[in-house]
Amino acid sequence: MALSGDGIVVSVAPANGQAVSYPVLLDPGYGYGDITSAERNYCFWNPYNCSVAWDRANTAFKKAQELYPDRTLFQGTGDAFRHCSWNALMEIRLSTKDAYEIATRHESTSRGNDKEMDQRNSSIGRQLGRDNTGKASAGIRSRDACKNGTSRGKLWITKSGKLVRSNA
Amino acid sequence: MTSALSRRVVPVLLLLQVTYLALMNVAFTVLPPDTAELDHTDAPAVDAMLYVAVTLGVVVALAGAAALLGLEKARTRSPRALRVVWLTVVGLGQVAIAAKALVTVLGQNPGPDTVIGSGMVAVALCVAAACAVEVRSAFHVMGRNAHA
Repeated sequence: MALSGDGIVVSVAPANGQAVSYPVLLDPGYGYGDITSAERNYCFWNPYNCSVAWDRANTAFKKAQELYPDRTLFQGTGDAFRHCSWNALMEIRLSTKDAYEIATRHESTSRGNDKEMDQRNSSIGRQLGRDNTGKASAGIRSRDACKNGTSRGKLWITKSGKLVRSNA
Repeated sequence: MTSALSRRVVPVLLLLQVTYLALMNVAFTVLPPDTAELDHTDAPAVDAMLYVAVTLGVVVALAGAAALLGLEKARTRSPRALRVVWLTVVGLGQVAIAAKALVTVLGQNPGPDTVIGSGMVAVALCVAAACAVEVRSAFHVMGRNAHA
């Protein structure tokens, strides 16, 4: 299997010189997006905090992938959990102000329900992070609180274009 | 002493700023969070192009100033007016960088970024001072030539 321009070329037991080409159904650039200009601006002046935020974003994302089906990672329960967990982890490691600033800058290019959903879940995550700051295993406690919050409908998801509770 | 600072140390500081800019951009390009695709944080094409143009402009300005301060050849062969304008622009830019870094440092909780920010302020003020000294000496030379 090899990348060729915008396509992935897969050879399935090809005869000599033959190749089978499939259209791209998955974005090969998945995971290599960009950051918003507002985030970039923050990162220039706060490189350490930015690296912490980056690390916690990836931690929350990997946990969301582990706990929730792929189809829920955008606007579903996986997405809700990820924003909650990411913000809780930032709140614990950084500060309320920095966690808020980073999360808000992260949403600077999103619009509508997607933005509203992410901001609500992020805010709940920061509150959970504040509640657990200073406690032993604060990160795990917050992650579990986000997971429970998702299943109990304390977070928000988008269903049929509408913002609804995460257990709906 | 002033000459050693502006001709030897400050060019290195300017190149350090260029390196920082380059490293940050490499990090933004190679290491965006895994969530970037999901969260649609891609910048619009026009913004992205503008950002690249501004970044390249800043790199050229900083590297040019480093050359004008640190390389005898660049200093003697460049027109005085160009040197004055170039170093004035870079010097003012450095004052702006120092101000922005200072505001950021004063507004954040103490931590590694406070130290980095304080370093940014010190470096930018050093470079701004060196640019001012060079511009002033260029005016002195112009004044002497006018009297002669």
